[in-house]
Amino acid sequence: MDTLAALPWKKKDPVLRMEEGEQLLLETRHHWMKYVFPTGIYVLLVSIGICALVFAGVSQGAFPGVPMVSMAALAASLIVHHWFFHFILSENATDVIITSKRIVLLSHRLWFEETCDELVLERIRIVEVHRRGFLRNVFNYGDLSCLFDVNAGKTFYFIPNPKKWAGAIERIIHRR
Amino acid sequence: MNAVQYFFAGMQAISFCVFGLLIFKYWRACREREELFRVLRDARGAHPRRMRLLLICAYAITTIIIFVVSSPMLFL
Repeated sequence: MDTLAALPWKKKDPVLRMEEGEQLLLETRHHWMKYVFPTGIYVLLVSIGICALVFAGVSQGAFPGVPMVSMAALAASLIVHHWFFHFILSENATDVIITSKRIVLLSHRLWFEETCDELVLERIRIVEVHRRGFLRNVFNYGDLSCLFDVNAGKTFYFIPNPKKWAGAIERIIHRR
Repeated sequence: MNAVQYFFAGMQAISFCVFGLLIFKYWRACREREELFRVLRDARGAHPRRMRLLLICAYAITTIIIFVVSSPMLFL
């Protein structure tokens, strides 16, 4: 589905410049359910690391392998810790915006990538909402596909209230 | 100081630098976004300052916890 080579999906410099008469309609960040799995992994791994460090501190080098275990535990804990907060902070700095002329994905991966991708609304032919599964229906989030052709387009994942977004896009498409 | 103590001190120093760099970049990204939504004259997308501070505090507190838990190894 994500055929980025499709023409209306343009990669631009990270600064968003609004055109004359362009209005902001909707703005969102990814749904919080996106963070649940990484948070679970983080809590599990860092807890194990902290337990190993506490054990190493309490035993005070009584066992021969303790320094090595504590070094590995510290390294693993810190790597997982910074990876997790890098992910969370990057996600928190990422926005999906819909204006009267385009959909813009302002994404950040702190210190690695900063992009401003836009999708011109006048080229969109079909809008699809995918909200399969119990959790997606309970927490009201899903994927929003904007298609230019039968299988060319862009899918936005973890969009809160995707039907509202699809409705807003369809209203603009049908106004043309 | 022995090798283990050097390792722990080094890891904590690196960790502190990573923490500072990430917070700096995140803060700057939020300021840029605030500026964008100010240009759009729409406050909907402005990242709430409280949320931003909450995230930074959570990051700082968990980093400090890992430092505190690992610090006994510095004094073995």
